[in-house]
Order: sequence, then structure tokens, then C-alpha cells
Amino acid sequence: MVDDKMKILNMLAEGKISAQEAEKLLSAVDKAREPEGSGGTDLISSLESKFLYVQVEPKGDESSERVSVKIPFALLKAGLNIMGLIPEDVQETIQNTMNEKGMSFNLKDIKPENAQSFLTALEQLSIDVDADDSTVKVYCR
Amino acid sequence: MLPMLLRIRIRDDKTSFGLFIPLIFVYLLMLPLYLLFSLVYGVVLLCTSPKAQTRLYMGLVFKLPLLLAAARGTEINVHSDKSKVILYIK
Repeated sequence: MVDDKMKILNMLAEGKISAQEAEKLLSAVDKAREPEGSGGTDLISSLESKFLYVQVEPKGDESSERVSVKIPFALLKAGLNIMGLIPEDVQETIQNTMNEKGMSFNLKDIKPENAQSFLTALEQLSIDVDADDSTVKVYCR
Repeated sequence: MLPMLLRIRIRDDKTSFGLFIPLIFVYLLMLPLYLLFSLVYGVVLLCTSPKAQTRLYMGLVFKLPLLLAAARGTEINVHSDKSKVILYIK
């Protein structure tokens, strides 16, 4: 990016382009670099430093069970990537067990190329369950 | 980066134990085995043509360090009147 700007400034200094043309070229270089420079890498690094929290807190005095789970997004992403490496017969066994437990989620829908969008969507997740004896919170931070 | 500390604490009416495991020592102990295994696997690949399924399983084994690295920062706490379970990977 610095090289491109230097070339434009050199062309301006040599009189090959006018000041207005140089200004247009410089703004075009800035615009072209914006998405790849800041957006993408920042999104990935911010996702990797995030965590998924699951917290179960008791409401009254009767129950004192507390659960607190903190899982790095990186672990979820690694899990999604590794899912494709699991042999098909093992995937089928897992799928059958999930179906038996009432989870109608298809494991084959999880693909490494979808991992980033899945994690981005998960980042917005916030679940609050307010039961009689406890509260459950699932969120990302 | 691989996690460097594993903390496990389990306590209930009958058992109670806690472990602080500096994982660097585990890695140092496992490294020769891992290298040896890789070497043997390489030789097996050259000499035979293993099934696709076997190659997948081996791929999983070689991806385990990545999974371990990604697990850094995991914290699990379960507390109740009678039991307590803590697992930290740092």
C-alpha cells in the first residue's frame, strides 16, 4: 500500500499526473485496501479471542448447583474443521445417537467453509432461561 | 500456542483430589513418541497403501495438537452441595 502511494507521489513529482489526479488515485488505493486490511483480519482475530459462556445459577436456597462453562471460539472452530476428518461410519453413529436424543441436526451440514459464518452468527447468540429454581444464560463475549 | 497448564479438581463425599499439571513436561515426554509414531506412519504409507478410512483416522491424530491449542482458555466449574468439579486449561 505504501509502495502504491509512493509511486503516485513520484508520478506527481515528475509531473506525469496532476495534483487532482494524484488525489483521486490515492483515495482509490485507500478504498481498495480497506476491506482486506481492516475488516477481515480484525473479524477473525476478534472471533478467536472470544468465548462462549454457559452459566446456570440457582434462584432460591433449595438448590445450590452452579455451572459455569467458558469455551474458546477457537475450540469451536477447530472442532468444526475437524468434523470433516471424522470417518463416515463414525459420523453416522454420532448422527444416529443425536437423532435418538431428539436432535434433528445434520452433521453433514457442518463444513469448514461455513465455520466462519457460523461463528459470526454465534457471536450474536444470547439465551436467557428463567426457570422456577434456576436461571440459565448462554452468551458470547 | 499450546496450553501450558491443566488444572483438575474433583471433590465429592468419597473422593477429593486436585491436579496442577504443567503441560510442558507432558509435551516433552510425548514428543519422542509423537516423532517415532510419525516416522512409523511415514514408512507404513510408503510400504503399503492403507485404506482411506485409516488415513482419515491418522489425519485426526495429527490434528490433535491443533485441537489442544484451541482449547486454551477453557474453564469448566460445576459446584453443588456435595461435589465440586473444576477444569482449567491455560
